[in-house]
Formats: sequence, structure tokens, C-alpha cells
Amino acid sequence: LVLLSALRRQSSAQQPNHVIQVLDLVVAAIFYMGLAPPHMLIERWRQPEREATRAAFSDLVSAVTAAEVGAKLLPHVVAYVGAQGAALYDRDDDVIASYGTIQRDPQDADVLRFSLRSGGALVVYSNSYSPLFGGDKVPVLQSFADWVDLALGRCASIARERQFISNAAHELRTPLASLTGFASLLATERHKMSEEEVDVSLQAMVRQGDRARGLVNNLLDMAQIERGAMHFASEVVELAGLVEESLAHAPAPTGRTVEVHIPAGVRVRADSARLQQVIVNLVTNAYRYGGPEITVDAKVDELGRVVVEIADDGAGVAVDLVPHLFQPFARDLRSSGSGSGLGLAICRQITNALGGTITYDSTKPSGARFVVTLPEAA
Amino acid sequence: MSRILVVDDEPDIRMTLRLILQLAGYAVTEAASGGQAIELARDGPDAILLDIRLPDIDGLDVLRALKGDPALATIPVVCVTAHSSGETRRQALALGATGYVNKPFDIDEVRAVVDAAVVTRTAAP
Repeated sequence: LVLLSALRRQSSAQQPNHVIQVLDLVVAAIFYMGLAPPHMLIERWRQPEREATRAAFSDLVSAVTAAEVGAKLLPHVVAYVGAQGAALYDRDDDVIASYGTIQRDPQDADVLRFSLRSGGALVVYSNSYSPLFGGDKVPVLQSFADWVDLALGRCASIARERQFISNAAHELRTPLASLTGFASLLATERHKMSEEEVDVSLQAMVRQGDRARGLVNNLLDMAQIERGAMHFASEVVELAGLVEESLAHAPAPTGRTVEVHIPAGVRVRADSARLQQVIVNLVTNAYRYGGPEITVDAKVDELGRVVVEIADDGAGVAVDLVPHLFQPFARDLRSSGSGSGLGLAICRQITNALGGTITYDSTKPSGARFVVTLPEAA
Repeated sequence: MSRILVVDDEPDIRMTLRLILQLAGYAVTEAASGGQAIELARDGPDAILLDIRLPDIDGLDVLRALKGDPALATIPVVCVTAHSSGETRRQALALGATGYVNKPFDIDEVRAVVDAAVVTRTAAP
């Protein structure tokens, strides 16, 4: 602009008026663009920044742990604002990942902290000689922090899935150990085994095979319900009859008794086969983990819902397990049990899909009580 | 005949291990819990096959208790577990386990580890 106005002054002496006018127009246009650049120019100037943020984002989606999220994003953050360094902190203020210089001098520091929903923070460090934390950089840094939140949420769900797979494999190991152990013995050393040893081996193989099959069926059921691929019928189900059928399916073992108090005429709207699966699961749990006396009660509450209670007089569920009771493989790893660890998770999925709820309550003075609430059939 | 104490809360696993060891010429006693294991260890078995996941006392704590008792510390202990983590294995070995077998186990592997454990017992002064 200075050059152009100098040129204008110089040329005004020699040039005809219209040339000066054209020069004036050019000067005005450049002056205008400097103050309020047209959209196209802004686009062009911002292009490298956009590419940088896009690269940061596409890097981020491939991160599967919090440390990877930090390692992939922090260099982009630092480059974007020209900072000295940046770090990702967890909820206890421990460093998950860092990049550049984060040991700041308190006398000469410029620090921006963005809190994360997950409890940690994204912190960007600079010093007073690179005062880049201003203007439009802050909102961009905020959006980096929002991405970190999204990425960390995704990491947590990946970690949960990995844990689920590892738990499922772990649960399969015990029946497999028995099955392969007995099978190898029968295959290679049958001649050394007594008739009785062969018999007990075969019976144990059938038992453990059933257990492995039960676990695999439960895994498939869970996957099907989660995908929304399981079909739930909407039938009017007479509850007393359904409980009777469930108990025929899962009869009380020796030493356990089941008392049923369900008034005739209590009907629910549900898928009878799936509801039976829930009742069988809860009753079987009571056989496995509960006391000798088990009761199944049902009533219609004041809101017109059918409330089914399955209770026992055993030790009840350990207090620290109660909050996680309906999560897959939540059972106390130290408790022995031949369950798959998925039964209650499936019960909850099914009752939710049927428009009902399932809750746990300890009975006084002891014992476990599971309460299933379902819509009453009109 | 060398005698092995098999500790596992799963009856079918105990039975598998019992058969595997009996057919290899060992005498076997069984314990279904950590408490019972420590009690039966006093009868002086030649080796202990110890599950890490037990209902009452954690298997690693049982191992700690065995190694902390001068009367029992010399009995070789082989850990058997479905824990796949290297951390559990490292802890077991650090606490003095002589060997480690993962579930599902190979019968020859179980016998080899138990044979080796019994040999260390016999070789010990």
C-alpha cells in the first residue's frame, strides 16, 4: 500500500488523471482486502491450518488407549499454536502423555488448561516470548480438548470390549481344561484306566461340555440382543403357569425347596420363552449361590405393573459386588461357581427389551432378592 | 510313591488332575479351598498343585503362607490357573513357586512340571 501511494504521488505529476484513478481503485481494493478479506482469501489462508487439524483428527481415530490419544494429538496441538509443549493429565493429575517442554518456569509461563469430561485435562504450555494463546487459537484448542474427550470415551469402550473377550475366554478355560484333560487320558491311557475311571471321565466330559455350550449360548444371546437382532414376541402370559414350566425346566436340586405364591389370573405382556429364560436364570442362580429356601412371589402393584420376586435365605450378594451385579462377568471371581457370569446381564437385557426392569435387593436379615417388574397384560 | 496335593475349587478339575497324576504313578490328595490346602500341606506331600483362584483365600496368599512357614516352605508348589496375565505368573514365581501351568493344560506338561518339582524336593538337603 505504501509503495502504491508513493507511486500515485509520483505519477500524479506526469500521468493522466484516469491512470491515477485506476491506481486509486487498486489501492482501495488492496486496503479493503487487508481489513476485511473476502471469503475466498480467508479460505486460502486457513487451508494449511485446516489440513493440520484434519490430520490431527484422523490420527486420533486410530488411537485405542489414552496414552495413544495423547501421543497422536499433542504434537498437532503444539504445532498448531506454536506452544512449547502440551500434556494430557488423568483425573488424578498424573501425566498420561506429554510432548515438548512441559516443565514450565512459573515466572515465565503461559499456561492454558482445558478440563475434560472424563476428569482429566489437556494443558498447553508456552512462555511470554511466544504469546500465542490469544484470539482464535483458544476456541480451536477447546475443540481439540473436545476431541480428546470423544477419543477417550471410545478408548474406554474398546477397553470394555477387550475385557469382555478376555473374560469370556477365561470362563471357557476351566471347562476346556477338564474336557481336554479327560479326552487326552481316554485317547492315550484308556488301557491303564479302570472301568469306573472311564465312566467318571466320560460323565465329567458331558458336564463340562454342557457348561461350555451354556457359556457359548449365553455369549451368542448377548450379542444378538445387543445388535437388536433378537425377536421378542408380545404375548399375554399367565405368570403362574410360566413359573411352573420354568421350574419343570430347572427343578430344585436335593436340599433346596422352591415355594411359589402367585395368585391365579396374574398376566403379563411378554415373550413367554424369553421370560422363562429370565425365571430359569434367577432360580438357577438361587440354587447355585443362595440358601436352601427359595420363594417366588408375584403381585400387581398400584401402578398396574406385575412385580415378580425371587428370593432366598442364603448369604446374599457381597456388598461390593452389588453395584456391578448386572454387568457381564461381574460375579465375584473368587467365588466358585459353574455359572457363565453372563446370566444376570442377559436377564437385564431381556427384561429391558420386554419393557420391564430387574433390580437386586438384599432381604432382611439375610439372603438375595431379585425383583422383576413387567407391564401387566390388559 | 510320591504324593501330590491337588488344590482346586472345581471338582472336575481336581478329578482330571487326580487321574493324570495317578496314571503317572503318583498318590493324590485333594483340597477344595486355600484353608484346607494349608491344613493338608502339614501331612507333608511331595509337591502341591495350587489353583490361583480359590473361593476363600487367594492362591497367591496360600503360596505366601506356605513359603512363610518353615515347616512347609520346602514343599515345591506348582501353580495352575486360568489367569493368562504374565503379572500373576511373575508374582507366583517371585513368591517361590517352582513351576506354573496354564489352564487348559496339556497332560504331559502337567506331569513334566510335577516330575521336576518332585525331583527338586528329593534333591533338597
